[in-house]
Amino acid sequence: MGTFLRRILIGLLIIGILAFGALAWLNWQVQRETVTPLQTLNGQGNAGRALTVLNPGLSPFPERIMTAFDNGLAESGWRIDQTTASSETTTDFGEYDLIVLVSPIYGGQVAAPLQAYIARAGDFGGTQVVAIVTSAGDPKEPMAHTRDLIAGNGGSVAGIFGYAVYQPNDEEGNYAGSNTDRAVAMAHDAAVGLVQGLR
Amino acid sequence: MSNSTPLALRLLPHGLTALRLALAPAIFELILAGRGLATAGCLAVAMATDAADGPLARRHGVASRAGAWFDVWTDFLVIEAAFAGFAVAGVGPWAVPVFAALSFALFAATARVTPRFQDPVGKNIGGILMGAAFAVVASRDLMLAEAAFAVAIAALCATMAGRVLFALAGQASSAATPGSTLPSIHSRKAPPAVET
Repeated sequence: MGTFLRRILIGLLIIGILAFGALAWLNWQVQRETVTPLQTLNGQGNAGRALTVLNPGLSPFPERIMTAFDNGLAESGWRIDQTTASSETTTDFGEYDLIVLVSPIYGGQVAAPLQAYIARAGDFGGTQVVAIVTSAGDPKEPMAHTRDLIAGNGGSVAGIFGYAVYQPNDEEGNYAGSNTDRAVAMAHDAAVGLVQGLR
Repeated sequence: MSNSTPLALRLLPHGLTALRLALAPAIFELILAGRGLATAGCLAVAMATDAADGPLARRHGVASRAGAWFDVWTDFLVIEAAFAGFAVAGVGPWAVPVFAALSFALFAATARVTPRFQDPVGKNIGGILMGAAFAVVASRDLMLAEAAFAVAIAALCATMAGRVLFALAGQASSAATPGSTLPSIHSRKAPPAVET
């Protein structure tokens, strides 16, 4: 048993050292801004114009969700400008009908670059804002926190959506595929439904 | 093997390993379904059986090379099921299941020439990887989940690099020393041939 306990302790020590280093590196990655130029989706769309601001995070899931949501807008005839949250992201909202913010949740909050952007954008020039968050577990609390963050800066929240990675998104069984595939389909349909509500 | 040991006790270690093997497909499906807590429960059972089957086999005198390989393969399949599940769901890197497969192949290929290799990471790699998978689903935080993936990749890289370097540097001298042919991720060592 002594050898067994020693192995457990050595294992825990190794895991602790590796985890500490990994967390430090990941935290730096999450805090770092990603600057990308505006990319336009469905440039001929004339039903409305949206600006989507993504905080990419550490996995491809938030971007998959953003793409699905934007495809839903595009299929509804909207033109979408996509970019990432940074100090260079536009705060000129005059030509937009909708601002879409997408971010993973780390430590219960949207990632730092998007928080900074929300603070800089203030009331988003009166344009309605949709927030989409991705989380490990239940997204309800992060959704409420994000709503408060936007509203606290004067923004008008038209909708907020949350999708979990390690908790079922589709308890009713309306969609097919893996949990993340269902979330992607739900994000697409959320955009279509939102646009119908805005009309 | 002691004839005085009741049959049920002699079968218990193999039964625990078989239970862990049966959990592998369930873990894969639960991850795809986004059932984080259920996955964490299955991984906790897998880790508990992994910790218990080896000592029980030795205590009841049923430790064998075949049992050790059954244990190793079962660990490998549970780990692959978990991390392939994360990758297929698009929430984890493919690097972990790919590196785990490479690492397993490397252990099997070099076990004869590195019988005396002191590799604390490799010795515990099964537990480290199962623990990392458990942390991914149990942490309920994406940052901690990503850290667990990073730990898994770092541990696999460390043990593979160490084993390759040791095998290259010490092949000649190690070949002269008969020793274990088991990869170091086993937890149920056969008594006559154990790694240091």
